Amino acid sequence: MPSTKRSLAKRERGLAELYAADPERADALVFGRRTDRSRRGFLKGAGLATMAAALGAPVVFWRRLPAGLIPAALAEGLEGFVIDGKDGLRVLGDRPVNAETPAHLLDDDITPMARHFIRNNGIPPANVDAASWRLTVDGEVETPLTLSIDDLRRDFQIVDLQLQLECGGNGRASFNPPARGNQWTVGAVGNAQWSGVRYRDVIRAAGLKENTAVYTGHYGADTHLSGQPGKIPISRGIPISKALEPHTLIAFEMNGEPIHPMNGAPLRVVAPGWPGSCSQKWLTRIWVRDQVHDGPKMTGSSYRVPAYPVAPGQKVPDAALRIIEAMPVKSLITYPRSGFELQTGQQTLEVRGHAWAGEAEVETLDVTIDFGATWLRAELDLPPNKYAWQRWRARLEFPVAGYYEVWARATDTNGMMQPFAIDWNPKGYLNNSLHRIAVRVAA
Amino acid sequence: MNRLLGYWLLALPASFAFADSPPWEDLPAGPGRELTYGICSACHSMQIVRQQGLTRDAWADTLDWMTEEQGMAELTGDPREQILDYLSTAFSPERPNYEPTEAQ
Repeated sequence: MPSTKRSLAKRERGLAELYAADPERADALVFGRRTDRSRRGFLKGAGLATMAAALGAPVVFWRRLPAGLIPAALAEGLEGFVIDGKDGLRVLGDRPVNAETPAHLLDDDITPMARHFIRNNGIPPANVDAASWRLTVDGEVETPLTLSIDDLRRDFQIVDLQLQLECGGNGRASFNPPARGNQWTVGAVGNAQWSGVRYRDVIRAAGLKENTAVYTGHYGADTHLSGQPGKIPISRGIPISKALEPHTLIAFEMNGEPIHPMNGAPLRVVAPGWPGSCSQKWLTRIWVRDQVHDGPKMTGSSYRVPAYPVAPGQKVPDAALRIIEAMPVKSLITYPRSGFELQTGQQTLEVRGHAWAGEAEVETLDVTIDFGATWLRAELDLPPNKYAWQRWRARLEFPVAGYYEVWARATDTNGMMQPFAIDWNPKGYLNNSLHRIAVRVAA
Repeated sequence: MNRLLGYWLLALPASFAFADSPPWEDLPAGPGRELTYGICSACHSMQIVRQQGLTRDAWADTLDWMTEEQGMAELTGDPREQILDYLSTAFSPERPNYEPTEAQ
């Protein structure tokens, strides 16, 4: 089996590389395909039947297929899959695109755009033109509004905040029995500097009916994987209290630049400290509701955890699930990279990382090199603003050569501490168990 | 013309040719593999399937969810059983085929 796997990987790489090097030549080489000046379709049908045979079905809209586009059905191999403007991410899937960042590439205080994770539920919009973008605010408001991004910039105070966003399913890969969904390890988290306007300023400008407004419902311009027109991939929201929190933003810049297309350009919600899905990307509408929002992935078992502790593998009825709000206290070791080796004669090492805590702040960060027998208090910085992750660092002394694990454990201002074990739940959310790396000290 | 191209494809080096090895062959072998590929990859790539390790019941729930919430046509009878057999064997909780991808 291993040899088969290797050869398949090689074959996948071959196709992807061929397309990466020269897409139109690849069309010609692989399918015998040529296109006319429109750069779509198949000139005189050349290559169409070959492609259909490879795909196992006729290409229905073949006249519209752009030149040099590797058919998605054949682009299963990820070795050659590249996301423009992203660097070093671990790609979990390409349709929809989901990618996380290895811990050692999250060392920056402000996560570079290229290193911010991607969690998509559908197909991102093709047109993310900021000038023509419109946001509608309606529902429980006196005066429904339709705003351009220029309107937002002109009519509201612009704020810049470092805000931590984490996917609710970050850490799912460690669940046993496995939980359904993308198998994120530790890297579906980032801390970018977001610029935008306060969410509350916008809904108040529309005349928020504070007596009847309960929740918000967010809509984005992404489309459903099934291709069904009008079908919504995801529409989640937040309680009015979170919408009114002054760090909850409607953002149009990420690290001082236009937001990356995969991170929601040109406009998105940033509801920091809550599951990333509360921060709708490609935002087009805020529907203020008089009830808890019931859009796709608000209901059933999505982004919900049991109201009571459950055994691993236990079936939990949907009625016993509760919507996740704040994310739990957590930390990462971002230096060194797991597997680091201290050279002969060296026995001290500075380790560092970040810690964050949903609605709270991190109060202490402890590290251990002896599997938790003794703990050393790390130096911990205050967050630059609420909801930004906090830098920590510690100087470790290794007594003798050998194999060590460095573990980091954060405790928040509510006294909540990262656990060693996972609090299992059916959908694999909220794994905030402590992060571990391997360090070898050479003899 | 097309037949000629087809023969030419077979003559290409293995790293370029796939007409003789369709995309579902990337998945673990087993009865129902081709049908599973056809149904699932209509909407999403198989990478999300490969990541899973689920019981037959959980796979059945997943198919129901796909139909009820995600726009998949209803699957009944023999095709459903074939797909469930395949998924619960190739992508069981023991994760016989789970290989986390490396960072690029």
